Amino acid sequence: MTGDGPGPEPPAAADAAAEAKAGPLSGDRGTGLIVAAFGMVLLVAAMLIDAPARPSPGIGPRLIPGLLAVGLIGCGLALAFMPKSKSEAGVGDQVAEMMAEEPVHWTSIAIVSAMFVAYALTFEFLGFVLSTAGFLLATTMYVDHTKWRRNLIYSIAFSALVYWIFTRQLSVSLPSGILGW
Amino acid sequence: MDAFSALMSGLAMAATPENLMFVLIGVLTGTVVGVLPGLGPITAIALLIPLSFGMEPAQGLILLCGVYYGAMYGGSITSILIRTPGEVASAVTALEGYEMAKRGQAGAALATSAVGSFIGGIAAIIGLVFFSPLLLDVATAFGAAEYTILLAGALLLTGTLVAGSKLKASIAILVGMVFGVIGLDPQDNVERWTFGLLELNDGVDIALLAMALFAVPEALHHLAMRERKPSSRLKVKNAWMTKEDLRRSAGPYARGTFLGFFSGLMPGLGPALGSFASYALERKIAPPDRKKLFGHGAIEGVAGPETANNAGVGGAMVPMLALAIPGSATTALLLFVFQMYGLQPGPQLFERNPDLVWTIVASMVIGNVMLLVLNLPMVRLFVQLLKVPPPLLYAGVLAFCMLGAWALTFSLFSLVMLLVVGLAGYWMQEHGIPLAPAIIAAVLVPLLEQSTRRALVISNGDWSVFVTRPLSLTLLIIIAAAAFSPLIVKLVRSVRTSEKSVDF
Repeated sequence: MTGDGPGPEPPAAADAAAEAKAGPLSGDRGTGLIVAAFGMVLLVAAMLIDAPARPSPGIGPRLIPGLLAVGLIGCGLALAFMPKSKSEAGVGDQVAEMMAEEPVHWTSIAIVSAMFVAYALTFEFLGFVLSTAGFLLATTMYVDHTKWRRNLIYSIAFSALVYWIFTRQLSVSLPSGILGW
Repeated sequence: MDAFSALMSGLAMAATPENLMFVLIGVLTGTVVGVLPGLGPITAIALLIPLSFGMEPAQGLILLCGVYYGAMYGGSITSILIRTPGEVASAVTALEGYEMAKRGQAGAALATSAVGSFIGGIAAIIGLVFFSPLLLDVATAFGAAEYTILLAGALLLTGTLVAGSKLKASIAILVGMVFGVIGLDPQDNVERWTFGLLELNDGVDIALLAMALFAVPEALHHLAMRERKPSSRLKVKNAWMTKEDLRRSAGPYARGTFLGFFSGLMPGLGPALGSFASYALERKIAPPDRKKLFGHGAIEGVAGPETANNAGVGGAMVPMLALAIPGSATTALLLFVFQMYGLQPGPQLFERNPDLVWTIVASMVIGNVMLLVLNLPMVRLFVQLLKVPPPLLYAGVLAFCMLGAWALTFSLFSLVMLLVVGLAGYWMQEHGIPLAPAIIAAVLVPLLEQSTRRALVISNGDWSVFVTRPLSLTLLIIIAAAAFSPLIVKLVRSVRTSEKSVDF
């Protein structure tokens, strides 16, 4: 699902464009290498798992973590370096194509992710209403700043209403934060 | 007969005004969330778990089961009208449903899907009533070795039915297993992959994992795309079927019910296999004049898979309730909800809390009837939900995730976990690594490890325990046959392709 421009793009150019959009270490090679690196970290951590004080017969606490880490390294390397096998087009491929997401520019991902990080980190300190209203306003304005009135009303109404429903009606306690409600 | 009378008494208990209200709220909320583009049943349940916190177990479970059915139905509306399925199983419906809608038959496609969902749903509950006691009888004969084989088989089967790369599916399963292993070792009390964080000693919450792997990546993706306007949708006037539609759908409904229910029974496979198999079967057996219509809006391609999908839900409930082995990502989450209420599915649940089990099962019958009665006339109202502007929708979803994560432990740590796992899930999704197998694996691996270790302790470390017991050996053979049959079929097919080209 690459190539928004008019007319068909040659496959190589389309792949390169998608790669540039998605940022560094994209494509199966990059994905595989990152998975393998993650597996390596887990393998080291698995080897550092303490031995039990009284080992029981059978498998110890390290075996399954170790196997999983090795599995991830193996699958990651296979994804990075094994040639892709071409399969015949069946229902599965049609569905996979439908479920595939369009690539997004990595700067946009970074901005939205940063807003999400800021939301999580201020959730307790600012409280549910303020942090949620701030996050909703920031993200909706980032996507569509022309509708600022709608975004503002939505942000305040959503956070206040949800806070009221959960704290007053469902007895789920949410952080009141600096507002002190 | 026992199970049938138990279901009848369950119906009486589920039919109290209060329980009926929970069923109604569940199916309506589920439909609303399911209609929202990209959000499927698992996201709906994960997002709505906080609603059930303060409730009695029966009411909370009735509500969430209603959400499950409702979201399945809502998802088919989205698949048919805007071709944005929330999960793989309803993507199969979109193949023909969207084409029908493009040809001005959206109403017929929606009605076919609603009637199919109802038939599949009710038939599967009847199947559940009769199969659960059988499975319970077998389950009481199971020892740790048999459970180990069954769980290992479920994990193996999880990877066999994923659209796209099998290697990426294996990575997803391994990542899910990693999340399932984090925490204190259940037998030796040793910390594993906790990196010195006390909060990780209890492991990663499955509800948090579901939100982080399903809702967060989907919402982040749509926000990062900066979609301002809702996807253009095809118009629908009335959801209704003609006699001819009904005649054409009758066969697919019946076949879809069987395929869906029995594929749902297979631990680890869930309803998706039924949908795929039903579509492939309908396409294969269609007469030549109908076969040409496949890919251009064949009603059989909506009726079969949609029925199979919903029959699979009931099917997947059987191993979840009787054996505590989830058949799909969504039932894995439901298993977590049972455990959240301090209930452990399996033979003991049927023995100790029969009223609860049968009330929940009966509520599913009521939920299915409600869905059919409400949704056919209300479909135009639900379609209005497709007008919600994407930035408001997805930012709201993220806020709900944050709320849900907070409500699980009331600590900042949950939020950080949601963030870290959510971003990791987003990265996986962007790189084509499927996320549903990860959830099933995360639920299955602690059970697998526990039963393996128990079996080995009992046998004093002798691994032959898995093949010397007749029951475990039989299971091993059945699972090996199920897991490797696609490979064998592929091999046979590739031999045949050298002679002639194959369609599927």
